[in-house]
Amino acid sequence: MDDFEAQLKSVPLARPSDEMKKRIFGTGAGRSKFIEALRVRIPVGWAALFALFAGLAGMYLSQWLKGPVAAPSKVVYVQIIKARSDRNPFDFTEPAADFMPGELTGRTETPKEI
Amino acid sequence: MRRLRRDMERIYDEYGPQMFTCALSVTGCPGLAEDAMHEAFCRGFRLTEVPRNLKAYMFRSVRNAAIDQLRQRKRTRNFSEDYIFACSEDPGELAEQKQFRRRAAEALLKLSRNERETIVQHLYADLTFQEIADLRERSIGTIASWYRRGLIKMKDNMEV
Repeated sequence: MDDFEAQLKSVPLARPSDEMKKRIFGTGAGRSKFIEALRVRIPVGWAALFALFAGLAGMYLSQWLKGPVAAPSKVVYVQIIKARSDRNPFDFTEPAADFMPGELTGRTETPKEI
Repeated sequence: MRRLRRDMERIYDEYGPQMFTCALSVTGCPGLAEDAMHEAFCRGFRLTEVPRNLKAYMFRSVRNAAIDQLRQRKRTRNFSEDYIFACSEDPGELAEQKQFRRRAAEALLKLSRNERETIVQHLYADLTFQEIADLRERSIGTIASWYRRGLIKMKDNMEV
């Protein structure tokens, strides 16, 4: 490069406007990175597995936040002890003439909240 | 194609001003040169595979887009006084420098289109003769000849 070429080269050139890059590449650097992140391709299998875990986590989280869906009702257990009888003591289809022999005990139990 | 977009952005960052200068050397109008660059990059985004020499491809695409811009607008070149040079508003700039810039612009505009574009591409866009030859689809000898002949004409015009 001779002196004349060097002198020509030293003259400052016109430059594109500052908006040019945004015009071409659409947005600012920050947002384009966000869009790039959205464009990451995930295998369908991984996506399905993620959706499954997300669903389960959501279900458990909602239960944890809201508490039990319905309050458990008290359950009564009746146990016949020493009841020797030919007929079913819980058969109430016909009136019973006699009381069941043996001892009848009852207990109630409230199940723990889920 | 994320790679293509990333590579194109890198090329813009490295060679954007040079590409703009190339486009401006064809259109003579900064607005049309920017339109040409925009069009060239949009064409690039539609590529289905990355060209082997993306830099050369983009320079060629910008030049073609600049020629298309002129055709579409049916405009004849109406070069500004400063041509490709920055229009300096600096009051501290020496009158001698200002004068040299104006004379260089005038001398460039008196050259043939091939000579002018070759000088701009080699001297200001930092393209090698081989790259210009690939870009213009001419032999390297022809490019070197246009360049030398253009420089001699400029020297004569500027009385250097």
